[in-house]
This record gives sequence, structure tokens and C-alpha cells, in this order.
Amino acid sequence: MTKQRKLSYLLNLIGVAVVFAVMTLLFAFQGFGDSTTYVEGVCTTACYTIIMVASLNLVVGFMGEFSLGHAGFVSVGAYASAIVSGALAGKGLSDLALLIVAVLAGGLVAGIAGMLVGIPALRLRGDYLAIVTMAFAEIIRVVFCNLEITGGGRTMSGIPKLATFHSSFWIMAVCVTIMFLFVRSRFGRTVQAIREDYIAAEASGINVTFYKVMTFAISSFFAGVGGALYAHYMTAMIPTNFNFNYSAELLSEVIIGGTGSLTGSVIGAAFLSALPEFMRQFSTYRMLGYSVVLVLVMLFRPGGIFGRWEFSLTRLVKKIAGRGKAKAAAAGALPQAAEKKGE
Amino acid sequence: MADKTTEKKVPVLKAQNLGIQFGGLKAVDDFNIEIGESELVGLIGPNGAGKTTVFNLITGVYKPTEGSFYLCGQRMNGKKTHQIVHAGIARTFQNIRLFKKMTVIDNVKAAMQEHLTYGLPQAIFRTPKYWREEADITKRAMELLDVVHLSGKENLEADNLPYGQQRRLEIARALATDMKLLLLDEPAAGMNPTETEELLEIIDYIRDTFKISVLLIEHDMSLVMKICERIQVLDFGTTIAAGTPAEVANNPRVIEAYLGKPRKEAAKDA
Amino acid sequence: MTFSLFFQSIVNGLNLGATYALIALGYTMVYGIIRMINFAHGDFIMIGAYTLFYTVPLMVNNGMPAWLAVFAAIVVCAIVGVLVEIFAYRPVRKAGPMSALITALAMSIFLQNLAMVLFGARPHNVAAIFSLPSVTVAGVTISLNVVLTIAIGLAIMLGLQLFVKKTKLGKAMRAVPQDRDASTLMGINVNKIITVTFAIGSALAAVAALMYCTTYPRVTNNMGTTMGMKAFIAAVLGGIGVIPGAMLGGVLIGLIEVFVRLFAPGWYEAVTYGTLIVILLVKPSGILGRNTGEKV
Repeated sequence: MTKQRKLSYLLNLIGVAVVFAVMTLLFAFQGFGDSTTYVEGVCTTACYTIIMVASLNLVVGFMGEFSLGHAGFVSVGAYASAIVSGALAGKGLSDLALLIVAVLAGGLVAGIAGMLVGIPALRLRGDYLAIVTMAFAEIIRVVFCNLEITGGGRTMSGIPKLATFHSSFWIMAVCVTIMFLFVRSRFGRTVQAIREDYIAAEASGINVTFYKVMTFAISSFFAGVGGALYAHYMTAMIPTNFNFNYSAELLSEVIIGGTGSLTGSVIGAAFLSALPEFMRQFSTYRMLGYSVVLVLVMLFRPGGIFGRWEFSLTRLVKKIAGRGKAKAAAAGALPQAAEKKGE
Repeated sequence: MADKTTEKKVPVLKAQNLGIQFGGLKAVDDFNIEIGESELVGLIGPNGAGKTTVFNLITGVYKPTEGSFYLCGQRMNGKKTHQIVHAGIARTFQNIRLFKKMTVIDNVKAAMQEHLTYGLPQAIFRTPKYWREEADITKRAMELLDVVHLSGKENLEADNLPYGQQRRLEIARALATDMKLLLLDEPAAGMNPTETEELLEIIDYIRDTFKISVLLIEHDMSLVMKICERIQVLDFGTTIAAGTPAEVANNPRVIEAYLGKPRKEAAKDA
Repeated sequence: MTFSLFFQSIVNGLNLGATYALIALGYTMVYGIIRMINFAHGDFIMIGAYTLFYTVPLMVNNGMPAWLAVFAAIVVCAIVGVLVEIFAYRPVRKAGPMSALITALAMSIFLQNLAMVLFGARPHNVAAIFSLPSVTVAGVTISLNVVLTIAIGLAIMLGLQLFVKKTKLGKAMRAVPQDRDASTLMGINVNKIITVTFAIGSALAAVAALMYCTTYPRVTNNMGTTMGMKAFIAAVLGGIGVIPGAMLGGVLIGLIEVFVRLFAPGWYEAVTYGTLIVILLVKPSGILGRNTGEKV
């Protein structure tokens, strides 16, 4: 069992590394011709969008509550990290170290903001909670518009360009892994129980408020990490970038990908943030397309494209290996391809 | 926790003058009960008599406006539901409330949340403690599923179980909280006679094995008469009778509450 | 603060408040009947405003008074409202509140982006609808346009109140939220009532567009988001689902905004949103609403 587990971890690590290697090689050898730099930029955008969308899915898909203010926490992370990196720039830290410090700072401040918002707001549920998260995000925006340190409503520029595709990719991989492990632990189980029936969860000894606030704070933390990457990739931003439309965009990506499927968030966010970039002439129609897809998803596949399904490399490999063995053994006993989730 | 001898004398559940008012309406008034270890007490009464309200009071869903209640001598008033569950009172619901889209075993494991001590970093780094504890509760959950005759169904979605099995899963989930007192809200509602028979066996088994006390709301009179050691009858929020099944069955006030007044007396009153 | 400024602010606050109240009525009526926050409602104002933008010159060129354009706006908004209800909301109505919320959000995004594709992201300026002079009374200058819009708002609210209290259709509209099944048994066609509610709510948004454009003639494709949000706050403040509550809430929010803007121009929106948070945490049912809890 332990050996199998280690093998499974190794397999997943190799999987991620292979994707990274392929992308890096493509970029290094001008795999996309003249537009290679552009494609690399789109992929970096996809990386931090994935973090934002997956983190929102913790609240929407796993906790079952709607947040219409995710962009607010993204902006907290973005501004906090920009301030930190601005203060530490030129202090002898390497670019990567500076980025990591900025990203952690952005995540932490956003996580604290999430906790502070969550404690009062999560007493509400459903529509009301959705509206309150939106109100909090608007308040955050107004605050950033009025503070001098965040540019006072004007563009905050000159943020060091620290985020590259390479660093963004690995930060994204680490974040998604942590979120995945969170979901597949007692915390994830508890949060899903709350989603299913909060009264029964309470009657099963679960401190509903505590776990809700915790999940909300963790979700905000990763939103902040995404925001920090955004700030250090874009190098300039204005509070209105993080308005309601941005929250709605992130939410649509969660829902289209699949509420309760991190796989859905990763693929959904990557695909949906990259697609319009490649079809520039359609960029005006992007959100129009989103909204139509959203309504169609609600009508025909309310759980989103991936529903609650999660991709498992281990399972896939086992299946392929199992099929191979079965062929070899011809009429021999089929090895039980253990389809247990996760491991 | 006191030693065994004193613990025996203290009732598992004791309610004193417990009551709640909604606006001007006294939904439950002056409710008193004592339940000893391993005792099975029935709570009956016509629709709207306040039985489920009593459950909601004892589990902290509602805060009592009068009186107090104790679990093993410990005052429970004003505690939150999850705190009361940790202290040792678990319940099932009249209209089944399972974690529908989760597997059967995860329904049980979710109720074991408080037995787990690994923290967030341990979950993320998958330390040996994480694996050990998860393996422990998996084992324990399987045992409990076995108790309620649901072995082999652990990986099904709870929603896909037939009705009777859903009721039993709710019992397993309640057992998972390691409680001293189990509150069953109409556990046999909607069951056929075979299923009811199976349920009775399970209730007997868990009382013997886990040494827990049971307070049961039930409409099926034959069932209540058969298994309860004592019965308490509620009508319009007040206790109108209490005693052994035989005593209660012959109590004129109980008959009146269920069947109405005989015609002669009703005429006399008017 | 001088008396003149104070008085002028009251008038401005009432003007803004009456606009919010009309929009809030749309939210409240829809919420009362199907328990759904119609996110797209704010965008109906935008549709009304664009309709005004295109029809006001038409009216003027044909020698008719500009304000007649509001009837075109009412018709267009009502049609859009009913279409949104029938094609987007009705199919998901049984799927639960979350599906409804997402669909409403999707419709809001849809309408905004459709408007951007059709009319561009550039703001449009609506031609003057009313051209009444300003009068000075006791040293206070008041635009009669503003007085007129307040009067229109009040008249509409009064009319709506009479409609729901006195007419058969209005009574049915009040019955459905109470108990949908019982209403069906009483011979009320629930779907028809919901459609009518959307038509009326959207028509009110068109009137709100007229009032708004009289004071702020700028039309953009996303003007509905903030307008809608604030009107929604007004609806919640007054007690969502309660018709007089929407009016009270609208006027209060309008006054709060105008007065906060006097003292802290950069922060007035934060105060409005803060108001919402405070009400929801202190009394989620609003000033005139009643508390309801979930039955266990």
C-alpha cells in the first residue's frame, strides 16, 4: 500500500513535469512560430486564472455557496503583493525569491481578508450570501480607489515583472495539488457534508460556521496567490479591473468546468481563458458566448461539463496496464483495476 | 468524568420544566423526563403535540425559553448543536437528512470529524498520522455499517439507497458521533413490516452493544408498545401521561387525546 | 451646510430614491413570486435607456413630445423581460435556487454583452426629454424636471399599489407567493402570473430609465450593474418581497447616497454596500419584512 502510494505520487509528479517540459520546449524552440512569446503569455495568464477558478470552486463546488466577490480577494492579493515586492525590491533578493515572498504575502493578506469577511457573511446562505460577497468586493474596490498606497483610483504601475511562465506553472501546480489534498481530507469531507445538508452536518457534530469560514479563508488565500501572479505578470493594474464582471467571469468558468471538480476548473479555466485570446476577432463575443454556454449548461448539464468527476493519472495508468495484462493473459483472470478514488 | 458508581445514579438525560414559546404559543411546556443508562423511552402524541420540538430543544436547534436539561448531570442549556453532539446526544430526522450526494461510508465518516486530530498541514503533506487516522475511521465506519446491515453498500451514493436503508444509514451516522443518548424521530415511518422488524433488531442490538439510551418518537403504536420500557405522552405541548406501555394505553386522557372525547362526555362538557 | 444645499440634497435624494424604488419594485415583485434574485433586472434599465436614446429623436422629429418615447421603452422592456422569463428562467425553475441564480447572472452578462455588440462600449447621450425651467423658491433653486420625475415615480407607485390591492390580477399576484399550490387549486394560472409580474417589473424599469436619463443622460452597456445592485439593496433594506418596503428602501438609499456624497465623495458607494451588509446581518428580512426560519 505505502509503496503503491509513493508510486502514485511519483507518477503524478512525472505527469506534471512532462506537461511542463513539453510546454517549455515548445516555447524554447519557437514551437508556435512568430507568436510563441504571445502564446507563452496566454499560458501564463491561464496559470493564474486556474488558481483563481480552482480556489473559487472550493467555495462554490465543495461548500455549495455562491461567492460573487472572488475578484475582491484577487485584488487584495494583487495589491498586497505589489506593495510587498515594491518594498523589498532591490534588497538583494533574487527574482524568484521575491516572487515567492510576494505571492505568499498576497495569499496571506487575502486569506485574512477572507476570514474577516467570512465570519459575519457566512451566517447567511444562498442568494443573500452571494449578494453580500458581492457587496464586500465592491467595498474592497472602493477602498483601493481611495487609498494612496494603491494608486488612489489611478493605475498602479511599475510593479516588477517577476512572474514568468515557468514560475507561474509551478506555483499553479503546487496550489492545485494543495487544494486537491485539502478536498480529499477530513476537511473536504466535512465541507461537502455541509454542502449537502447543513442541519444534518450540525447534528453530526460538525461546527458548521468554523469549517465554512476556514474554507472561505483558504479559498481567499489562493485567490490572493492568483492575484499576486496577476500583478507581477501584468505589472500595472487599476481597482476597476477587479469589478463585478471579473467575479462573474471567474464564477462562469467554475460552473462551466464543473462545480465540485478541480479537474473541471483546471481545464475550464485554461481553455476558457486561452480560447478568446487565440480567436482575437471574437474577443467582443467572449462574454456573450460565456453567458449562452452558462444557460445551456444550466439547462442540460447543471453540474457543469465535468460534474464532480476528477481525472486520476494513477487510475488511467492502471487501466492501460490492466488492459495490457488482460491481453497478455488472454483468458486469464482480469486484474482488478482498483477504481478507488484518489490514491 | 466521575467514577462508574456515581455515574450510574445520574440519569443520562434529565429535563426539568423544559419549555419554549414561539410568540405567544407555548409549543412545549413544563416538559420533564429522566432516562437512565440503556433505557428505551418512547415519546408519543398526536400530530403537532410538540414531540419534534422536544428533540429540537434537546439538540440545541431551539433554545429553551424555560427550564433546563442535563446530560449525565452536565447542564446543556444554551449550547450549540455541535457541542451537544460532542457531549453525547445524537439524532435522526423525521424527514431523512442524509448527505445525499456523498457515498454511504463518507456519510458515516463525516460524523467522525471530531475523532480525527490531524491538522491542515498533516492533511496536505499526507503524514503517517493522516493515513493512520483515516484508516482507523474507515475501519470503524465499516463496523458501524455492519451494525445497521449496510455492509457492501459503502461506495454507493446515499441518495441511491432504498428508503429503509436510508433510515438505517442515518442511525449509523448518529452512532458514529459516539453518543450516550440517541434520539430517533419516527425511525419506522414509511417502512414495511419486514423492514420495521429489522429496525427493531438493530435498535436492540445497539442498545446492548454500545450501552446507549434511546428516546424514540413513533406513530406506530404497536411498535412503541412492543419495545419501549416507558412511554411519555404529549398533547398540545404538555405531558398528559407517563408510565409503562400498559399504564399509558389504559389512561383515559391518552385515549381522549388520540380518539377524542366519547360523545356523552363531550355533550356534558358543552 | 446651508439650508439651500440641504433642501436641494433632499430633492436630489428623493429623485434618486424614487428611481431606485421603481427598480427595487421589479426585484421585489419577482423575488416575492419565485424567490429568485433577477440579476438581469438592472440591465432592463439599460435596455430602456437605449430605447429612449433611439426613440426620443424619432419623437422629436415627428413633432411629438419627447416623453412619449417612454411608451416605446415600456413595451421593449416588457417584451425583453417576458422573453427572458420564458426562455431562460422558466426551464430551470424546478432545478433549484442555485441554478436560477446562475441563470439570472448569465442573462445579465448576456444582455450587457449583447448591448455592447449592438451599440458599442462607448457611452451614448440621451437627448433632453423634459425641458422645464428651474425655479427659485426662498433662495433654493430646484429643477422642475426633478420635481416632475419625483411626481411620476410617486404616481406609478401609487398606481401599482392600487393595482395589486384592488384588481383581480393584482390579488392573484399577491396570492401566488403565499402558496403556489393552493393558488393553482384556486384556478390561478401561476405561469401567467409570473409572466405578468416580469412584464410589470420590466415596464417599471423602463420608467426608471426615463427618470434616470432625465438627470443623468449617459447610457452605457453596463449601467445596469450598479443601478441594479443599489436598487436591490433598497429592496432588501425595505424587506424583499414587500412592495411598500421597496419604495421605502429606495427612498432611504437615495437619500443616504446623496448625503454621504456631500461629505465623502469617494466613499459613498462603500456606505451603500455597507448598509446592505449591516441589514443582512442584523435583520435579513428588512425593515418591513417578517422573519422566516428553516423548519427542522
